[in-house]
Amino acid sequence: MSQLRDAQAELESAEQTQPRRRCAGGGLILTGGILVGTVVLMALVSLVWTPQDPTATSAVDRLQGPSAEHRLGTDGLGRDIASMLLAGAQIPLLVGLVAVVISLVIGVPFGIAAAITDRGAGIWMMRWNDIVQAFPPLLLAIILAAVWGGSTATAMVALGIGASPGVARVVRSGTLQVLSQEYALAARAAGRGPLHLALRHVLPNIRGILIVQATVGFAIAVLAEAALSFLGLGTPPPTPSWGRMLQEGQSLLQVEPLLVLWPGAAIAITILGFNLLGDGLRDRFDPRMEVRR
Amino acid sequence: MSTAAVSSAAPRKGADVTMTVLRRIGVFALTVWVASLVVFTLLNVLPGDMARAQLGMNATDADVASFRAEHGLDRPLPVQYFDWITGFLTGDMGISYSSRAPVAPQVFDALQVSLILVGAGILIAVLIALPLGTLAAVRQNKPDGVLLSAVSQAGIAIPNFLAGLLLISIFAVGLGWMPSGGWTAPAEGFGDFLRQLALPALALGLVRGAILSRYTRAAVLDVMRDDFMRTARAKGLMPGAALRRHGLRNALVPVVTVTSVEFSALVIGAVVIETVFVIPGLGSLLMRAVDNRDLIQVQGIVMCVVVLVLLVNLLVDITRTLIDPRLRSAR
Amino acid sequence: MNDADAHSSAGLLEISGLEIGTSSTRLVHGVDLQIGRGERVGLIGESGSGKSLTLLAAMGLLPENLKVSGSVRLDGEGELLGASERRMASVRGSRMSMVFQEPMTALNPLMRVGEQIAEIIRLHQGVKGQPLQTQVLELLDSVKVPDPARAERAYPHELSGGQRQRIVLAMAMANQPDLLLADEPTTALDVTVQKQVLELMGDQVRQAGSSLLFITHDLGVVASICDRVLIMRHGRIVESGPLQTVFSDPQHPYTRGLLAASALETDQQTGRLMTVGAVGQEGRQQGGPGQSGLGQTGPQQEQTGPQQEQAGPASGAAPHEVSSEEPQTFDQAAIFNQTDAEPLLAVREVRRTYGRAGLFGGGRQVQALRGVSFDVRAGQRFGIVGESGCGKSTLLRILTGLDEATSGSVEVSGQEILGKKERQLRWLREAVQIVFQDPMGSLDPRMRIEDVVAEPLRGASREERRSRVEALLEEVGLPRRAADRCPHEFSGGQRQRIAIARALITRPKILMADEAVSALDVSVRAQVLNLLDDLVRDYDLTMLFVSHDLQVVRHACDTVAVMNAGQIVECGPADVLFAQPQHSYTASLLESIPRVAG
Repeated sequence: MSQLRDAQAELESAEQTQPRRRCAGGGLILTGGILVGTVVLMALVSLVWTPQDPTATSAVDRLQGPSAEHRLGTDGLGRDIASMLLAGAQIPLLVGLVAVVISLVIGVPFGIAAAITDRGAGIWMMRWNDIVQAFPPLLLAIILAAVWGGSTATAMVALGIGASPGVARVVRSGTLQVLSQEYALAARAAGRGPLHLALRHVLPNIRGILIVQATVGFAIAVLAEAALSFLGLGTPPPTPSWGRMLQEGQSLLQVEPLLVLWPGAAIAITILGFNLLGDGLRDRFDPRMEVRR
Repeated sequence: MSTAAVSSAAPRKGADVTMTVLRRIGVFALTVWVASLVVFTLLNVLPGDMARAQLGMNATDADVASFRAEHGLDRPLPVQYFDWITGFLTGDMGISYSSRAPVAPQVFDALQVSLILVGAGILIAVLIALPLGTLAAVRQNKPDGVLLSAVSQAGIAIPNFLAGLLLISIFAVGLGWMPSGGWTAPAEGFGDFLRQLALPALALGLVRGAILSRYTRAAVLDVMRDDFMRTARAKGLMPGAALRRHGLRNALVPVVTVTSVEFSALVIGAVVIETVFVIPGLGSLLMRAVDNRDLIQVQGIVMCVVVLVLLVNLLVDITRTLIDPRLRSAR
Repeated sequence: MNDADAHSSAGLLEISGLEIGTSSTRLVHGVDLQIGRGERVGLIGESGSGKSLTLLAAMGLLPENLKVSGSVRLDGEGELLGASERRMASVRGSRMSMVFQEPMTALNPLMRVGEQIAEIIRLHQGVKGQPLQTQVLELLDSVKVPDPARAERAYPHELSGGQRQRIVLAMAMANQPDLLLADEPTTALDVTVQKQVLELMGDQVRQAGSSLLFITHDLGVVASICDRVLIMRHGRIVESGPLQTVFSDPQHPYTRGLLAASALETDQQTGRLMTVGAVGQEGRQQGGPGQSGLGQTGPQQEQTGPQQEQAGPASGAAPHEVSSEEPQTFDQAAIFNQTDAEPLLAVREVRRTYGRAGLFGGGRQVQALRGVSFDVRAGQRFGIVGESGCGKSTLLRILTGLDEATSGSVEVSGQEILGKKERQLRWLREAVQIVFQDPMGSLDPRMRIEDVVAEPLRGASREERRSRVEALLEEVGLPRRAADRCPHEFSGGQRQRIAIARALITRPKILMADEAVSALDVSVRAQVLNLLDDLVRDYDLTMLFVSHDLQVVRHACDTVAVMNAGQIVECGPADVLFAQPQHSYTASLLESIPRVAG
């Protein structure tokens, strides 16, 4: 909004902005990175080892407190909570990863194309984008679950497609900004086509925005996956998942609140980690991109 | 940039607003129509065969054929679409596949419940977000500002259904102050209504409020960097007065804008919260319809939700036009 | 340095030993400055000199992360540095007020203009109701806003830049302050508007008996409004004194260079533009018998290109043509600079209309170009001047195939370029290159300089590419190793050199410059103009130079067209046109140029 003012120019010429930006957001990135790293590590470890079989039920061992055998106790079906927590990290991360990739694969080319054809097809593309955005990712997932039945695949596809309009919107505004720069005009004056513009100028310059968007999108996808599993429309049993642990814990809330607390904390920490990471990266790449639509 | 007369825009304000609003309404109608096509396609074309999807793989061909005939599924898709959408516009959403009862009355009953819940949720969210977000911005480098910022960050990380479960375990199971779920219509007992509304509305509003407060904080911070805020200080306004008189209204524009996105998140959040608190709203109805694979009912509910979201987008757009004179003649 | 402090007995503002810095760097080093009652002082410096910070320190509006020490005293108020916010607030807007650079963003976009003016009166005088309303209307009238009653109800975006700056001035003068601080208040305005606003500001200050501290980089502007000047550089005041003394007999070498560079003075011996000596690393060593500037002091203009002599109808000089003063309603606009021989560039009846019917009928149309026709002969240096919004940039974009004309024809070397597909324009992309205005935005920050410069080049081998880039970099006065660096490592002037190198890599026939030196400091501007001058000669270029700055165009071009409201109003040889403008618009433009001398 405000133009480069002289006082700011004076400040910046003195500060040489580069070193400042390089360390901006460092604390957030570190904290977020540790949290996310922990969750990723949990998922990786659970691939090769868990304390117990996370799917093995045992009527005898129902609802036990912590013991040497069951570090965090057992749930209503006698399964080992610690093992379920470890293995439960796999699905959210997988769904998050695939959903983010899908949203980028759809949203980035769409957003760039809409920006490049701004006055022509671009207007209609963004109208279409608005319409898709009226279908929240979770609603889309519920629709697909109604049609095809709930599964990991429908969750990934629905959440990915549902998140793509948001990506497209951000990419479009970033691209428009790049295209309004004189270097983009210079490239066109040099006879370079839209593809060259997109690959050589737009993508490198919106890379920061994309990384931030992907990180935040990951948090949203993890949250939505948990909600789907909680509703019973996510990954079907017996594959362990934090969302379903919550759902199963709800009926036993009166008996054992810890059944809700453990998976709840796991979900919250994962989301917190990605959000902190995203905020930190935003501080570093693009301090002014937060709200503007 | 000539010094000729003041541009003629000033006295035409009323006409500009009306035109802008009419144009927005036109776009809204068009958008709803396209959205209805999307909904219809998703639920009628994607499954391949709605009857098969309803009856399951074991149904005999004869069963499937008679089901089709009964629900008009043997007609061409455009005819089915036309039939459905004209029905929808007149308040008829077809006959449920599972209960064989008309869909619309159930949906309208549930919609009322959901609207109350969503309304209460957004009220709580806004009441939390605007003051706290502004405070966090103004005191951005002070301990309390940082604390507020951290609390909102933690709030965002808690999914609303988890918040719901925690509220239940504290206030219903632990302290026994509130019921753990259920619903009473306000007409049947206002006290019960409020007691049952409190926890689910809080679960919805707290989380959304945390998110909205971060947007508010960012918007206020943005505005505080604007040139006209410096002008306000140069006039002799104290920082607080400058923010009140010039900053907040400007910060409201982006906040109102995100409210439309936040609203759709809140509506879909209500679906989950209704399941947690056993509230007979659209969400519960939708989950039941999904369980029963009652696609015609799903279709009606989804369309309702989408229209609601688009309607709020429209209202938000109009509100922005009213706040910001620059949008009145733009585009 | 003290010869100008005659007023200081009645000192109003006294700044002494002012130091401003971040935690790591000091930006302002011990500035001393006194302003007497009724005195009008200009503080002159290029970007980064610390002049704006000094001003903000006086107002107590420095960003919080800056440390400040020294003393700022206002007569009757005592020390202001470190004064409480409440005390500063009572001083700001009543005893000291400020006008900012950017009129587009200085006003609250959501509040009616009248209310914004009323606010400052209410705040300090406590006037309310009808008297307040009357006072606001009087103020609007006094700053010569047409139709005050209507302007009072308008929102800022409904007013032009010049009108907004009048509003800001009305606000600043509302309480008849003792001191008005103005931070580049006219830099964002067109020359004709600038002149009006400057005159207005002078009148207002004189009537109210206020003192003025005027910050600018433009020496011409200062000359028209101030009676004493201070020259600031790198956070220090290097020279000060009465305007006449400093401008006619500058003592400090920097002041001398600055004066020479802003007047676009040429060296008598070499004919090259004088540059600020101390900024030597930007300079190009190679001298040579240069083409002179067309400035006052330059020798008689000579035609150097052989083509030019053949092409011109008589003795190589372009004809001087003027369009009729009446707004043209018919399509028979004149063809300017027409030639019998085949022109390199032939523009006929080019029109451009923006905007279209909206989706639900909200469309508005703007005519950016309303029938432009002219020729440019090979070897000519064709300048196009006009104020913002006159259509000159749109025209340039159409000529480079970056924008489409609504109608008309553009031929380059006899080939039509309008309505052609990109594939058919490949030859044009090599034949015509463009240099843009913004040295920050015209280079992709994520590309290495080698890739930037080589972007227009196609089908060259790696080695060939590299060697051509290096050769060109050297030619524009940069080291070969610059090829491996990134844009942010270079200064504004250096970036503009890189942009020029990029434009030359295809060995174009025509070079278009879109405000190519407008964003540069005056000292750098002279160097880049010298460079362009050399290159146009060395490469046998035909140049189209678009600018709002009449002096620059006058220096850089031999033929000049003046544009107004989407049309060319006058065209002719630069020296003739500037000496004897025929069209009233050209005359008013020339009259508005702030002049250093007199």
